[in-house]
Amino acid sequence: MISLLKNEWIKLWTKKQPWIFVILIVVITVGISFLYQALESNMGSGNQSGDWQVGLEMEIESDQELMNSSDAEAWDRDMAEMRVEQNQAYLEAGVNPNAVTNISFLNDTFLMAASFITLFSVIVASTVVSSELNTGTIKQLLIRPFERWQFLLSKFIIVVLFSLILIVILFVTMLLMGTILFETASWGSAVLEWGAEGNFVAPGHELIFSKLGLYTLNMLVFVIISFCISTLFKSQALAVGVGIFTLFFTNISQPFGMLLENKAWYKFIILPHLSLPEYARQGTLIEGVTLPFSLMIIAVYCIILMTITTVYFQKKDIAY
Amino acid sequence: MEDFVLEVEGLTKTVKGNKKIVNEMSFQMKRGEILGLLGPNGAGKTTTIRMLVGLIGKTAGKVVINGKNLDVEGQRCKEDIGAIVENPAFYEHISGFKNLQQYARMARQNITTDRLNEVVQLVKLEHAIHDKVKTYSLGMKQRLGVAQAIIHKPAVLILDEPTNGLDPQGIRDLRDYLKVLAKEGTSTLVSSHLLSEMQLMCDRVVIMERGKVIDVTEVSNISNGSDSDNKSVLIAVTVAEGQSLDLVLDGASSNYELMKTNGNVVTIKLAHDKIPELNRFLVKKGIDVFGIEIVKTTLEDRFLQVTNLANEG
Repeated sequence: MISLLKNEWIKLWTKKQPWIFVILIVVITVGISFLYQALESNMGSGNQSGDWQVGLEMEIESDQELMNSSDAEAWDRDMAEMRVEQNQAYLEAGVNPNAVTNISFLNDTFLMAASFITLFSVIVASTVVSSELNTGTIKQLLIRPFERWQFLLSKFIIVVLFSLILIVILFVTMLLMGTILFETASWGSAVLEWGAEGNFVAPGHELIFSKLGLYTLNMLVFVIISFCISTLFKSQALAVGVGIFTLFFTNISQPFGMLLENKAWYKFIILPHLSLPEYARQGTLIEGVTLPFSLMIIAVYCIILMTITTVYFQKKDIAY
Repeated sequence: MEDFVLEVEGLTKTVKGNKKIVNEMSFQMKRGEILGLLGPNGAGKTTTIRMLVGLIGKTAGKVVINGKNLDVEGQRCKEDIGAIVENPAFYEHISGFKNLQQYARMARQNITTDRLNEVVQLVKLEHAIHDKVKTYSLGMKQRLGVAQAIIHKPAVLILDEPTNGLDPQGIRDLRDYLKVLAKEGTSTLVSSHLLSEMQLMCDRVVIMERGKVIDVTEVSNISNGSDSDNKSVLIAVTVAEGQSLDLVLDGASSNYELMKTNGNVVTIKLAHDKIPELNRFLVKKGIDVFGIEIVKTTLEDRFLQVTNLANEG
């Protein structure tokens, strides 16, 4: 089994594709960093520390005036009330909502950059079995003294390993760029997060590492889906297609979610659960659906898909 | 009991529509022999081979490789097999040597670089082994295919159409190193539809047609033109135009048997040591002889003979 893993590892890196993906991840991260910096300096937030507390207090004051004024519309007053509550929360937590540190940068942009990793992982996962089926090299593998599932497993492990490497590269590059371009803050420093239930403030490492963990799980699901589909249908194109479709669909599924949220079956299909990183900033994805439930649904789908794939591949007649 | 390294019994493959593409095949391969699997395209040769190496499942039958039942000890069986199944496929973007290293790692025993170099030398690929496989010709890929099949010194070597894409020199080389391997104790199953190649390469030939074994024959028996039970041979005597041997030979001797007359070529069956005697007899009778030639029954004749029988039956 170790020898199979070694073989797969060598086969992966002797291709150009994974190297291109690694380089792209670095380039994309650097690009995002500079873009973020440009946007932040455009917004011209007062970076002079000390002043922000005065600024917030002034904002609170004017909002309170608005709340008490009889001219304002009711919704205007509600908005003002929300802002007051938030700003008071910032003051209490001692967080400057406009300050940019390497930690807040990481928290803001990690998921955006990571979506490229999902894309690249889907491509690699779709290629790893189907390319050997297409070229016929699979014949020379399956006549060796190993069980077929061992070949599948070794390929799967290498794909996952590749994805994890991309994540590490992304994370390190991002931290490096954040530290170079922005202020340095401690891991535990409070950062501002936009949640579905309003903005909130939380320690940076909590947010970042829950996003990292949830993202990794989420990506794993995409890898499993593309890996299995490419093996079942021996079609690279179909697998990449389905992978990317799922990826985009989960990104645009919010409107569908609103339409279908009330249907009892909606929470039992896998698609709405594939936004796992959202749990870093909100307790439920759709009403009544929490992280354990999502993980359970995802696990059931993945186990079924992987079992079908393994059983199918064990018995399949290799005749090309 | 003979030492069989491969025993196939009642091997059957049924595909969609209840079609039997391999039907109750049975044959044995002796240790150290080169056994041919001969048949026209679509006879089921490749399907048989795919079942032997476990690429496709068999519908029925029993396969015993080196004393181990394929159904019971699938993995142990594969340790004893090296194979090329149809066109050998390689990782084109890496060198031939790196391809071999991949296969070496999958062997159960440790395979040294020396062993790899030895195999490369045997298949005569030294000059190109470190080039990327995508630069290889079909013939070079066939050689590399043989190399990957023999690196772990398997007891049974299975080669599906190994002469595809090889030039005459390549075919000759293949023949030579199969003989070398046979001496080292490797038994080889070679499939082909090229009769003349099989005749030169194999010790015995299993002839199959439409999924069935229709004959198993010793190649040596065929190629020297004799029946195994008596030492008689067929000779073709070319005589002068207009002369007839019919009358001359009629009742001359029970040693000669006139088989057929085709123009001025007469085919006679007789014992091999009676040829000089016949020659003197013809001279005495004043027959102008232009040539006496031993007629070799080729594998092709045998093949056509048995396939015709099979078709009639």
